[in-house]
Amino acid sequence: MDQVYPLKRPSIWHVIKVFMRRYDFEIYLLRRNPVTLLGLGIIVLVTLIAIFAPILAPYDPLALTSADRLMGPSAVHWMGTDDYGRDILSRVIYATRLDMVIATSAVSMAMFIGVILGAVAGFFGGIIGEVIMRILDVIQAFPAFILAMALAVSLGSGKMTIIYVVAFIMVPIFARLMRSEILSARGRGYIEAAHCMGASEMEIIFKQLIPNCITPILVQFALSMSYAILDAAALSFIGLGIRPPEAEWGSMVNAGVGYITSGQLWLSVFPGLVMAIAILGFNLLADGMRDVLDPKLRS
Amino acid sequence: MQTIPDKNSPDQIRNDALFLGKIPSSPHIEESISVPLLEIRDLTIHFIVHRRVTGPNVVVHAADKVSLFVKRGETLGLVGESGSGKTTVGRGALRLIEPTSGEVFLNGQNILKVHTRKLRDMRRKMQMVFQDPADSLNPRFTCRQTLVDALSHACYGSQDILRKALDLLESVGLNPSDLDKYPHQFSGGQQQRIAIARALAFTPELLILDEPTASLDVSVKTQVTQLLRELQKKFNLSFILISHDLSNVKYMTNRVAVMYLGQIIEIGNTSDIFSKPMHPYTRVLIDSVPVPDPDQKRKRASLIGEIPSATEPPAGCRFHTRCPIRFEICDQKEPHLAKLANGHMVACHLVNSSSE
Ligand SMILES: Nc1ncnc2c1ncn2[C@@H]1O[C@H](COP(=O)(O)OP(=O)(O)O)[C@@H](O)[C@H]1O
Ligand SMILES: [Mg+2]
Repeated sequence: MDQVYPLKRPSIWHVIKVFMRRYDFEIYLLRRNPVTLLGLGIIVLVTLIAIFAPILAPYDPLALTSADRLMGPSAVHWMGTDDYGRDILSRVIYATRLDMVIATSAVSMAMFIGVILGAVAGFFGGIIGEVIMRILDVIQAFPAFILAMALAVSLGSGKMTIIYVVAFIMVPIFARLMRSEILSARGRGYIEAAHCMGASEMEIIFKQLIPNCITPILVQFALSMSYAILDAAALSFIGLGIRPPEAEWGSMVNAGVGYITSGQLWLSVFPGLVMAIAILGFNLLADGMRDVLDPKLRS
Repeated sequence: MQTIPDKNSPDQIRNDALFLGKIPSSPHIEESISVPLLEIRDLTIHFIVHRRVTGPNVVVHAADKVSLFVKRGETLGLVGESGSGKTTVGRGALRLIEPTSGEVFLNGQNILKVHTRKLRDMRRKMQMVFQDPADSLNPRFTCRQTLVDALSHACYGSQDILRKALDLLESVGLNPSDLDKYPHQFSGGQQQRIAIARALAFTPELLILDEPTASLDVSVKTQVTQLLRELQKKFNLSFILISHDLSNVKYMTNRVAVMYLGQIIEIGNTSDIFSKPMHPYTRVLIDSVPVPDPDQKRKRASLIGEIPSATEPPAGCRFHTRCPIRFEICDQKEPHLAKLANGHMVACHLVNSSSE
């Protein structure tokens, strides 16, 4: 054989190009739907704000200036100041950081645990599968937010509490999704072929099944992010999550509620608005990605 | 953990040589070994489709007391209507399904008795090529990844893998430039070639071909059939060819087993089965093959009624509900495979009573 091309070590660009072709279909769907791109744009922006919060924030979010109490939006304080004279824009920027960290950690944790539980339950079935699914049933039998409140009360307030609680109530969603994906993929020919090759069960799960079942999981990730943001904010709003003076969307809205009747709307409106935009971004992205799940489009 | 085989072990040298086509396969040596390559005894596979708390479970009798053997270098055809249990027997032979009862011997060793590690080793000696090539290739793997994955399971060292992958591609008639394509970028015929290459990575002794050409276009069908025949010669392979394309079976096989509702009802040399089919069901099957020469056209027998459900197979002879020549005993007593000449066996009361 004279042709040397495949024997050469392929360049890194070649490897990346080949790898990206694997996601041709997903990329095509994203491009096809401009609203999805809007959602993606919002998420990128919010993420950048979260990462560069210390650079972007014009003031210290915790600095008290009693002379500047309850000032309306102006060129100096774009979103005004709160009842302690803190700059709301700076606080909203830091809150973005905190809420994104909470939501991302919680959903990642839920996804990681859920995917493994679901994969095991789907692949092995039998008694292990039954036990896993029944335990998840029990978790899901409680109304999610009531369960979250109960857990938050017993664990005490704080960032880690919110992360654990939100992750806990989301594990069943990921596990269920993964299980049903695995169940449908398990009977595919390439899995049987892998068995014929003498591949071990763990190898089949991690190398063949999970990579093929991961797309719907990513869609669920985007969707769960919006719920996680909402749950984190709601827990803080009712005083079970992040405690003042730390800046968090939900607790900021809560702090401003008392001033709404007196017309000082900016205390609650700005954090609420930013939170709504972030949630919208994740929802738009998830909605566009949901096409990926449609079996009619798949073929 | 896989053990890396000794590069100079006789086995490995022979495999390499066979692989590169350096030594011709020698049927004489193989024939002198009396143990058949694969022997299946009374293989029974029941699928529980519905568990009941009271009363018996609802069970599909996918395979019932199936016995057959495959000699080295030969091709055994497995024919029958869809739903008759052909695929199930193939999967049972590889223990891809855990059989309800029975025995499967590969080179005299019972694959149903061995433990995980040994099972994996034994499976590699038999490979399966599936009906739907698109389904049998991982959609997220390039052709390169598929072959590398297979070759690493076949215990090739990382220096040899790429060379072997190229050899495999060449032997199934694909180009090196196809290595970095994904399954959806190939045609059905090319996908099936990749699946065949993947199976060959293990230098298997037996290939179970589950309707390998059923989902392909007519012109591609002949190409793949031709390829399989070439590979069989080159690598001294034995085949179990599952198919309901009888003209192809006649062309490809040495012996044929006919299945009906999970049972083998007739088995014998291909020439015997096609020239003097004994079982009424086999006759119907063979009559339904289109004959090119109109003078040869036999009187066409056709089947009455539908194929009965495999959950409640008819009592007695399973074929009696549709049999044109049934008599009293047929719905009472189950016929057993009775030997005729040349290893020809038939399960039919009429044939058995007349030959006694
Ligand atoms: N995993 C399974 N669960 C339940 N029933 C099955 C399963 N696989 C096959 N069957 C049933 O077993 C019978 C034989 O199927 P199969 O071996 O695929 O037939 P063939 O390959 O001859 O078309 C059919 O009635 C089919 O419905
Ligand atoms: Mg079949």
